[in-house]
Amino acid sequence: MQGHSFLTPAFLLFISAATIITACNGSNNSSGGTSGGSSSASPTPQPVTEKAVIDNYVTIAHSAYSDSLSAAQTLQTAISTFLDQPNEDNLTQAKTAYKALRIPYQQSEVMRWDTDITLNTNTGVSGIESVDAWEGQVNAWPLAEGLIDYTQDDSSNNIIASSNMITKAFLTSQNGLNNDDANVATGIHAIEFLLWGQDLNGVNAGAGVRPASDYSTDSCSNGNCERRAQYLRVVTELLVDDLTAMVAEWSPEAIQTEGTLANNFVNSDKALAYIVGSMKVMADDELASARMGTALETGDPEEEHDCFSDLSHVAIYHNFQGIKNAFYGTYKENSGAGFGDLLRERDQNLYETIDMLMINIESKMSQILETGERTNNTIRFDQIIGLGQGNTEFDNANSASLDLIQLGLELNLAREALSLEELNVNGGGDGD
Amino acid sequence: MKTNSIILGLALFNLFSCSGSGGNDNSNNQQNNGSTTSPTPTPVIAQDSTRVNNTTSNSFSSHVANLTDVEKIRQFNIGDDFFENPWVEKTSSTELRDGLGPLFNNNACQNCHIRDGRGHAPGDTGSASENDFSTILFKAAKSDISEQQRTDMMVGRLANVGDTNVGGQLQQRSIFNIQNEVNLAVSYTYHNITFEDGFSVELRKPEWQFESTYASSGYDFNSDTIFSARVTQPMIGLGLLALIDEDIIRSQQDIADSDNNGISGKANTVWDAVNQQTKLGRFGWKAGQPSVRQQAAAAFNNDMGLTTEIFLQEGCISHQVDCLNSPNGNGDSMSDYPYEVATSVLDNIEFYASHLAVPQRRNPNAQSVQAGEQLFNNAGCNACHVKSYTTVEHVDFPQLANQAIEPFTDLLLHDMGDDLADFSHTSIGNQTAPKQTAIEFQATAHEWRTPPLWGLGLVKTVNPNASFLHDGRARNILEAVLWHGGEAESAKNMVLRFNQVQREQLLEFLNDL
Repeated sequence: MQGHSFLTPAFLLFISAATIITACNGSNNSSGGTSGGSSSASPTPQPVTEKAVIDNYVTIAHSAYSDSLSAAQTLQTAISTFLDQPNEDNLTQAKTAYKALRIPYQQSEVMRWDTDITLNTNTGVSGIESVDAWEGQVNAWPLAEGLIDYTQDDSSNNIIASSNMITKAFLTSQNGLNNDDANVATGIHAIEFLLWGQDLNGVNAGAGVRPASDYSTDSCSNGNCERRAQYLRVVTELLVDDLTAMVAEWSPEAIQTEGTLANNFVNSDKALAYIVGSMKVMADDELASARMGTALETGDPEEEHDCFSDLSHVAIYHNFQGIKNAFYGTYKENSGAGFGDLLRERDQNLYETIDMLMINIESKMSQILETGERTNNTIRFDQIIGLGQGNTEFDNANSASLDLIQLGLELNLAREALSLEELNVNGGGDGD
Repeated sequence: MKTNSIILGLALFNLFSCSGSGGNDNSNNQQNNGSTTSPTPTPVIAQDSTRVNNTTSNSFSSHVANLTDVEKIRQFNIGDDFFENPWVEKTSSTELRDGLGPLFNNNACQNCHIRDGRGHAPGDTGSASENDFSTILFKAAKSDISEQQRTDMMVGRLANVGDTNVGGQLQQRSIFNIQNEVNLAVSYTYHNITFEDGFSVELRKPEWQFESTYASSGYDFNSDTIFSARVTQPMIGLGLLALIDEDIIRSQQDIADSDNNGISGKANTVWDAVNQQTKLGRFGWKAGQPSVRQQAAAAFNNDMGLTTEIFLQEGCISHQVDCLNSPNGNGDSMSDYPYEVATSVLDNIEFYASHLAVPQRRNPNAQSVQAGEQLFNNAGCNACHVKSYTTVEHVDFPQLANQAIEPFTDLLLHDMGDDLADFSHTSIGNQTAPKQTAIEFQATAHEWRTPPLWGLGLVKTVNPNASFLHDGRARNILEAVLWHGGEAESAKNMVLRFNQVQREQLLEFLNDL
């Protein structure tokens, strides 16, 4: 732990704007700061080294992936219980475990744009080449669910209805079938589809309503229940395998081991450029545009990424937490040097601009999360999509998305302020 | 208004200075010499504020630098999302992105325009990419057509008449359970071309092989069909090219070569399907498309089998029964409309494609680069690769207006000689099509639109496999130069007299663009 500052280990998942202000000052290792850069007498912060920021980033990565693995193992246990006794209660338990996995995993996603510091480096014999190369198997979207199981339109042309042996190797081989990246047979969204089924409610309330009996051997609904169970079991096991491998890439031992992602990262002269570049592309390209903007602008609820479960509000909120983690150097109880600390030393005004934007966006994203979670008058992201301009919740989400674009512009200025090069943020291959 | 006419005047001045023999061609944004005093206020000289400072493999993927409005940036990003992500078969989810095929060449724009850059021909025999036809496609146009059809082409009302059995474009891929149209292969033959000082360069000539999957059922290619190979072009600067004054482009024409310099230059007049009228062709290898929007819609239609409000028909031929009966992806989960790509998506794609920025030149003031440009002009390359223009006003895309751009193209058609011409496919192999065969509106089998050269030096950074010329036969820039024939024959012959130093300077210049 590189932390030389103190952040109250509370409120991490459902932070209000007020607690964010605390968090910001916390990462400034000063006890007397106030919000919004209006303090006049706070002590001069200790200089932050680039190494401290980089080391702390590895710590955060390891924590976020470890928590994801742990959550995936909990999901695996819940799914195992459900498949042994496929009733509605056990299905609900599995869905709850899926939701819990989204919280740490979405915070890890800011790591994805790493090809410029990983490709053409030594990855050892069996190591993961890059987060980008690994991520598609774990979290790819869009996912053409008709490849996996029955849909409203077609019950026969899918893996579960076929006679192929359902193994990890077979499912992996179906990813990108026919050179189509939307043919996704593995990962979190495949599990989501297998737990919920299609959401046929459009912009109205309600997620997918797959019955537990889809996995019942006694009263099997929709056919092929044993094969469906086998699929769910195998695809979950593969997810645990993948996350196990990724945790190993960021462990304290990995840092010392040549060829791991952590080792490459701490030794890369592009590490800081990668951190800020990833924050930027996560903010403006991925989160603001692909995950929120497309849906809000086109009005199509199928453009939300967690479209089977209607848990996009959880996913996008925690994607934003991932950006904040990288900027402030915080993750849950860990608090260390962040990219923002370096920026503050170079350009106090720009730091404060970004700090205020973060607070502003946090407030809007919290509203999206709260609106989706509250028990009365719950409004999920796909419903927000359908509400249109002039509606409070729509305008809030739209405004959060546009603020994230502005954040991307400011982070680009931050990159320039620290004289860091612009890295390739479009992934390693064609058509990512 | 006044500023505008001054800018136009400057642009015209630049045109003349380009075509002058070896004139000292200063780009208008570098004339910042304070040593001369001017009696009147110096006019504001237009600059290209759209260029981005990026030399990574991502350097063709940035929006123009002067785009700062967050809603516009988001629109660009959303366009990018639909440009990058795959389109899927008709399914019941992701309805905004479905309707791929039934026949197609590729399933995402980006899979052909790799990182928004140039594609490549399949690799040499024996290489891993030997059968990689993912970024090249083939048009198929009948040459034995009626007088009426020929007239319609000449006035810009008809692009051409496609092969009756496979249509106007060969599709080597198809969705599940649908028969694809063709199987493709290539082999290369090699020969050397030698400079006066003895320096030798190996060139490769492709021999394209097509096999119609319908041949056995009686639907082989028509015997008069002419094929045209097309590698994907870079996406940068398209919105700026769209804003070059049409009158200036047409004024560069010299169809009968009245100045006897061996170079003609002909504008293509094409059908504008949006406005239902003829218009100047600007985009595509034969300048067959009038606008970025229509080019995008045509690519959706021909390359991915997706219909738009502009092109409502899938490319199924009457005997392709499975294709005709395949379900479509019309409408989406929100509303019904009789095409697959929602108009809002087409809007975003148009915005995206129009605002992809050209990277800044890295070293335009270096002595060797400037010497290279001088050699380029001396050889006469600038007769077609015209350096600079100033873009006109545009209400919807203000960032692209009034920019002093340097694309190095006249956007006109030129005869590039027999070697590069479109061809028929016989049992003997590829046979050069007759010179006057009309292929795409007024563009003949031998004619190609001058491609812009901006960004040239980063093409391989963006796609290391990228290859040059319309069919990708040139593996590097020098090979591309040496394939120039027809109207460019004399310019090429001038280059062949260059010594080692001059060759390097020429390439330093081209690589700086």
